[in-house]
Amino acid sequence: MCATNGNDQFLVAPRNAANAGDLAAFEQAMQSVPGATILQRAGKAGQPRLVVALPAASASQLREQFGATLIIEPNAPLKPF
Amino acid sequence: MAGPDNSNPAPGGRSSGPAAPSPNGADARVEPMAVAPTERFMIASRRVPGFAPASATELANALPDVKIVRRIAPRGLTAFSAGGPSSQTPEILVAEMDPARGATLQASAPPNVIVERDAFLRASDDFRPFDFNGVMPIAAGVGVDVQIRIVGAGGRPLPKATVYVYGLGFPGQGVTNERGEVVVTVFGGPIETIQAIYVKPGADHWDRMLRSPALQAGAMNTVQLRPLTESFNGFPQTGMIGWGQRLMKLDRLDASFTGAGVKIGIIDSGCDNTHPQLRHVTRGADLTNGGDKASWVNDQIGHGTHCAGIITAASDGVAGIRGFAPKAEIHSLKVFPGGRFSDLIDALDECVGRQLDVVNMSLGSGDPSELVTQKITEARQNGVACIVAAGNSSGPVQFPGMLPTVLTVAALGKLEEFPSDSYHAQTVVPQLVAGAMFSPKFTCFGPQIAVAAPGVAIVSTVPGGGYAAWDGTSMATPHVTGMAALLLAHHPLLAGVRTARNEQRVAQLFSLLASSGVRYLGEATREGVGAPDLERVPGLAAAQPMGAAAPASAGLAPAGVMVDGFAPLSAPAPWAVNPAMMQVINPAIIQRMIQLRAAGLI
Repeated sequence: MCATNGNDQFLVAPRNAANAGDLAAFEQAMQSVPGATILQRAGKAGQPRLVVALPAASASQLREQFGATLIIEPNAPLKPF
Repeated sequence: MAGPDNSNPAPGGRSSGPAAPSPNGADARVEPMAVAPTERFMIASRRVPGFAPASATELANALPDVKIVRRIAPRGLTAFSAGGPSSQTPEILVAEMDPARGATLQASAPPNVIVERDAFLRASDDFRPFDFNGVMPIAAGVGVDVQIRIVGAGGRPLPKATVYVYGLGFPGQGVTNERGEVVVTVFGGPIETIQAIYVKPGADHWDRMLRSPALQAGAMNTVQLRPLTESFNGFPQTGMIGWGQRLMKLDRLDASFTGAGVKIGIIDSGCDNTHPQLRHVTRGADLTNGGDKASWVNDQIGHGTHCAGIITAASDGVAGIRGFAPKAEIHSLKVFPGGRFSDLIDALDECVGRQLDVVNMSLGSGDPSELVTQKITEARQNGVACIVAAGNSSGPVQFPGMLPTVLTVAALGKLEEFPSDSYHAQTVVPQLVAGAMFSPKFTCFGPQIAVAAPGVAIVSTVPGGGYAAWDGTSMATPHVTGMAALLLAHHPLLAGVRTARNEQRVAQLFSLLASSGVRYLGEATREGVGAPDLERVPGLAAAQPMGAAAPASAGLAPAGVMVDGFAPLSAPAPWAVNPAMMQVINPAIIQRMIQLRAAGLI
């Protein structure tokens, strides 16, 4: 994945298969966010997901806009125990 | 891997051998260090529908025994707005208290109150083995160079040892060169103020913790480490069975139980398959590198290689250690260093796609994830059993160990299985010792703990061909994963092509593991139903070859009964079967059920 320019990473995925179309709308909305980047398009057929870099405040706004149909959550680091 | 911290000095009176002499003649004194056993926690109100928000004053009044050291008020215009947005940050209390008190508060906080550690910020999200959170005063000062030489038996220099030096300021660290030497710069005071040195060897030696070391400025200070062969004669040419494997009775199982036919995933830091005991590990993917099919063998931190050894070390080239399932098919799915939830989701997709049977997840996060939760559920529905470490933060079980869809593993320790001057001794809390067994202070706890397994001073494989003794719920989890593979391969109720790969099989596997639990502490939130024991799995003895050394549970208390403890049992995990019921099933009935199933009648 490429650099995030200091933005936080988020995972974005449809809540169910019927909401997959909203992912494209999310990408469209991201284009108006300065510095926002799509880091990875992942998932499998029927389960698409994005890894994006966003300013935290913009993520909150996008969550308010798309939260009903998309899961937008921090792509938090893992730790080995 | 659990790392050192500075509380709870080692209990006295235990030693696995004489103190190591200092080759330069200077005494390296090991003395308890006076520390303030307090930690900072943040306490705040959480907006929850149906609960009245708690004010900061109410919270402070409710905790008269803790010291409020700071109040962080909301800032900005919204702070003065009635009915502001739900995302508005509430007033935060920063309180200083005993770590145990803080952990209790965290575990018992009502839904409308947040209690969390006010942890030091880290510069990196990668593994770091040492924390002195909230205890050391930070003082600015001129850097002091400390020259240290690390040697093994006979004064042989030890390269690649990591040396941590703790003074009054930020700790310094360095790695020894080919001469075993390193210069570590520490800040905050003269050399006399250095409080501790921790040495983590590259391989084949016990680590060492020196409190209040007598260091000399401008001179080389030598620290000697004990070789593992001091404890395990002739190792690794002469094989040894780890104390963990012995506790779970792997040594009592016939050697024909190898896990053949079972597919195991290890989601971790990769696996160095040039190690003589891991050459049969040939499948994997590097999810940090676009799923690359080759770079998973580069294990930069050793964590995955250590876990792999516990699960599957084979003794074809060298006797070494005994892994649980040396003939299982291992899939190393690399997500460290740098792994995030997205990598874990990719790895779980690989597990489902490759039709793996059981997956070892010695990892986690302080944050939850809805998407990871969904993916673990999907894996379980596809017959993939996820066995997950509880975490090493001494607090509530971390994510994803907190999920009901996984089998969550806490760590156990055993006295006399490590030198008293090693860091392993620092994991002992006197209040959590029962006979020879103890619950290490780092292990996470809570009602989600299903089982416990050995997780202190666990000797296993590390990159480069050597061995190391590490601590952590990460080390406990592969013990259970390895045993799970043996059950899947050899237990009459799970083995064979007639057993469908589905959620029911996962539930049955978890039930069988739980049914064999032996409790050592009498504290379900720290050990669940106890440590799984191969000799106590109902029906497994019937699968042993004729003449195999597999005595029934003679001399053992019934499953779930405390062997040596100090408190009555509390309820087992809600998903678990009643172990006492499982234990009373007559092997003849199980045999009859197998026959009926084979005949297609059930």
